[in-house]
Amino acid sequence: MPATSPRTIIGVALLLILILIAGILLIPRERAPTTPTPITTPTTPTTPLTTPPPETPTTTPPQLVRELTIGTSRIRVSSDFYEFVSKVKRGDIRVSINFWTAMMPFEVKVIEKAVRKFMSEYPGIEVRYTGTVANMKEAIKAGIIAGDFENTAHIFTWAHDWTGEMADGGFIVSLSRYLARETIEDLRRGYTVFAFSSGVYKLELYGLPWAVEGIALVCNLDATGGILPAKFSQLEEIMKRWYNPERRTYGISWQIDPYHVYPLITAFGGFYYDEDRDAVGVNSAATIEGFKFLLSKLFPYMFTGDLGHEAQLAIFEEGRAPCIVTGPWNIPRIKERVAGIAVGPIPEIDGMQPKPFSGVKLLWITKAAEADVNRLYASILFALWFTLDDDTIKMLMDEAGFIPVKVAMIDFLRANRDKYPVVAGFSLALANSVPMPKSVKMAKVWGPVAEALSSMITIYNEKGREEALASVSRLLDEAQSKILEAFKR
Amino acid sequence: MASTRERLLYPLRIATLLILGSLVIYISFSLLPIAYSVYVAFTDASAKNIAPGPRLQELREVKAGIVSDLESRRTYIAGEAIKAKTLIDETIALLSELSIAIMRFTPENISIAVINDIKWGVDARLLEVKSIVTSESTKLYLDPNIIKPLDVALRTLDYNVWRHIDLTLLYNIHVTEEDLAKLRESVIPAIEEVKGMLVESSHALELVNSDYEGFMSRVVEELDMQIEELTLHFVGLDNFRTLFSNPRFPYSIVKTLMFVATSVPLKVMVGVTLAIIYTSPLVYGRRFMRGLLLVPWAVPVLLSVTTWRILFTPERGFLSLVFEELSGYRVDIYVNEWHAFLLYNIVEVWLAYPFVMTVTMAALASIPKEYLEAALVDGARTLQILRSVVLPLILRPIAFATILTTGASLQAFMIPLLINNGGPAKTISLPGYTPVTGYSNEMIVLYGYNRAWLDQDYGLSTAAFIVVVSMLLVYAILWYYLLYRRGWSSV
Repeated sequence: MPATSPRTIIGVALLLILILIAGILLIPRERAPTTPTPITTPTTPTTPLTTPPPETPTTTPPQLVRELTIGTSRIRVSSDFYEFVSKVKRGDIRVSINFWTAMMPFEVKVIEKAVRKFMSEYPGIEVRYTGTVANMKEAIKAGIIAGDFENTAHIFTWAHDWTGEMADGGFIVSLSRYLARETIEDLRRGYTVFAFSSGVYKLELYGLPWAVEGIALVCNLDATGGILPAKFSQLEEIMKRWYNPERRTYGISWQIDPYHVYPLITAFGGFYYDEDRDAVGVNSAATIEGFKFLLSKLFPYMFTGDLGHEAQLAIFEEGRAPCIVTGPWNIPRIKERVAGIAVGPIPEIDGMQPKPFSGVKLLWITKAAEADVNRLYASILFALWFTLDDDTIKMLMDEAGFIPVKVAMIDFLRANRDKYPVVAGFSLALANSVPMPKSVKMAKVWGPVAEALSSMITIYNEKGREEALASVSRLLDEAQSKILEAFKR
Repeated sequence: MASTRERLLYPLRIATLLILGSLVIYISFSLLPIAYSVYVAFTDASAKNIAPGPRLQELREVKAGIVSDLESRRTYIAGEAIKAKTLIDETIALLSELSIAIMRFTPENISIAVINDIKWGVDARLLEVKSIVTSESTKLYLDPNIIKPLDVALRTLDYNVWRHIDLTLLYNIHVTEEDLAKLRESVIPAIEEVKGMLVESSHALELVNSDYEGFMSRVVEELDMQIEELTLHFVGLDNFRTLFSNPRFPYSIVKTLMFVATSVPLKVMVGVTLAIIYTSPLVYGRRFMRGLLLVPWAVPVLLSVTTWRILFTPERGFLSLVFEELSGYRVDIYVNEWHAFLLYNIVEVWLAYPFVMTVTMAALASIPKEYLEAALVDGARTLQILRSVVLPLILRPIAFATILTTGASLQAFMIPLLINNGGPAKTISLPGYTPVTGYSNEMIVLYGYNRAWLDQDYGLSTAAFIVVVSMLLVYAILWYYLLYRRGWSSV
């Protein structure tokens, strides 16, 4: 008997093909959404995207609007949402939602408290909170693609720059499709214009804002002689006084990367990427000027051997620099080591205001919540409560230093500036900030700018300031063409 | 008879089940992911299209019935477009009023009420416009000529008009003439810009009524474009062409090979030397010390590499300071390409010598005592015994350890990533290439990682990984050939 007959080969080949098909069929696909759990009142707030529109269409379904107290704010909502809220308050409806964040331990503790407070107010809703989710964006995407709506986040928070990617992929829910127009109108009035606008993408409201973050000038008042410099000339004087590399003291601590140097770029009118005009401005004259200012006016007073986060923060914490440019995320650590800090805007350069990037922390509701109307409403209610309840916002501000974006809280902050010098300082500094772009295209911008900047640092350290200054224009031209090339691909 | 025996020995049904089961598992969990990974290297995979979310399916569903849907609602949609257009035109008029009011303001006659009236008027109209445009029943949001200028106008209005007005007038108790001048300087051009965008949008809305076919084709085109953006495309060898279009990736290969050439001999030398020392009965407490020497193996790589980085941090790191004190020379791992490269080597040796040492010690233990005694009887000296008896006998295990540890050096990733992310950046030049800026110690795997996580260019990233896998394959084949075909195994 021959070892392998042609028939056997054909048989094996057919078997392999069959197995391959079986394998492909076994690959997990997006599951059809589970049947929504019915609630006792009819709930059709707006037409979902995939549902065919009604025969006699109206732009917004006629809804009875009622005024609801959420937290400490009054807001107009649709009657079915009002009914839902009453029921969960009484515990007549029981629903659970998953809330995910990717935060530091001190932040998680405060958020946990807020979650407990919410659950005690609305006993019908169980919020399953996970404070530190690794690789959160990918984890949410994977959960939704796999159709694992039970274990994926129904609501999560991050800075607004994820909006474009998450909305374009359909991972987050447009609130405009579920909230009454009056609700949106009230929300718009409730938050700062800037914060509300951060949650809007392609005209639809996707996220509700609860805090803002960005960088500002933080000074050790003992070291600066009680001065928080408002003009660059004042800062320069302090820097000159402090700079002494032999004693390892420096004029300023400043983590150097494209994000942290952006205020210097904008001060001269420069920019990296303007999503409204789809323009890249990395090699514009103003951007070049900003980078040159960094090399010629700041580097001479800094420790440029290690411009990373740890080293620069340590220099300030160890009292070897009078000021640092950093964000609220480092404040708890700084407060433990440095007494008497003051926070304010990055000083004006010859009348030009440096504008840092700002990220508005938004609460988004994912597609995983949309499959069940109770869960969707519970998520919306949590988002509204979290962003509108003054007591919670105050707690977040008091205990974790989150900078509020709700108008009433900003008024409170202004009235109590002396009690909240740090938060008020950041709030003031970020009033003049530039929102991070929401477009996915920004991902192609960071890399080339970081390479150009790192190269300037290498040249500065190896060959000196003049050579570094001479290289700025060439390096930024190269970065610009790399970005444009990446856009094309 | 023979066939009966075969059936008894190998029951066909059970055999088929087992084979089928294992093949399904093998193909689904092993071959398919590998095949897919290889396929990604030949696509334009990015964060948007590598794992498209529910939106793609929704868009396809909308696309399927869009023409008939728009046809059936022609009158309604055109009517809504005109309604939106009227609201936009009213908004433009209100914005003109706003400009006039701001121009007329003096520090004495500022009226927040006037501003607020205009603001709420504008807001209410634009909210209505948004609601019409984004409605599923009109699908006007699928016409880029309407939505794009409207979107920019609304954002500009919020960021550059209302925010500036709030900052200057609302949150400022004592408004000066200077404040007003600044406000005019920034806000008046912004208002004009918004008006320009709104005019564009209004014109596009008018076109829906006057040229409905044009609107329909724009909607279909936009849907096609959005579906295209979320779809993965086969791009042939484009990613490989991109990899080799500038010197960064080739330089990364060169640097990786250099790292292999320096770190492997170091690792092997240190590992073998320590094994020989700690096998010698002359070393007191060698068992304890041997145990200690295995510590680098037990410590998580993340922790040990970070510790090394901290030790060599310029100005603060303990070893960095000691070295500077002793030699007067400063170690700059964030500035000097070769300082960083040297540290990579030190860390790699530290991480890998326990492996080489363990393999060598096992080989040493297997050398028959008689060989050593015979050599001693013949009058050989220690070095002679080592060179002529011991080393030849342990060469093969060392060769295997070397092969494996070379693979580890070729895949260097955690060390450059954690120490300085493959930096410092500099101008990379290689013969035949135009110099470009890049990271000077970006090893191949790190290069691939950065393209995926930094640039979100998964196709390019996978192509880089395919190159490193190919290199490993060539290397493995070479060793197989040398060991088994050329008879090295008989050494």
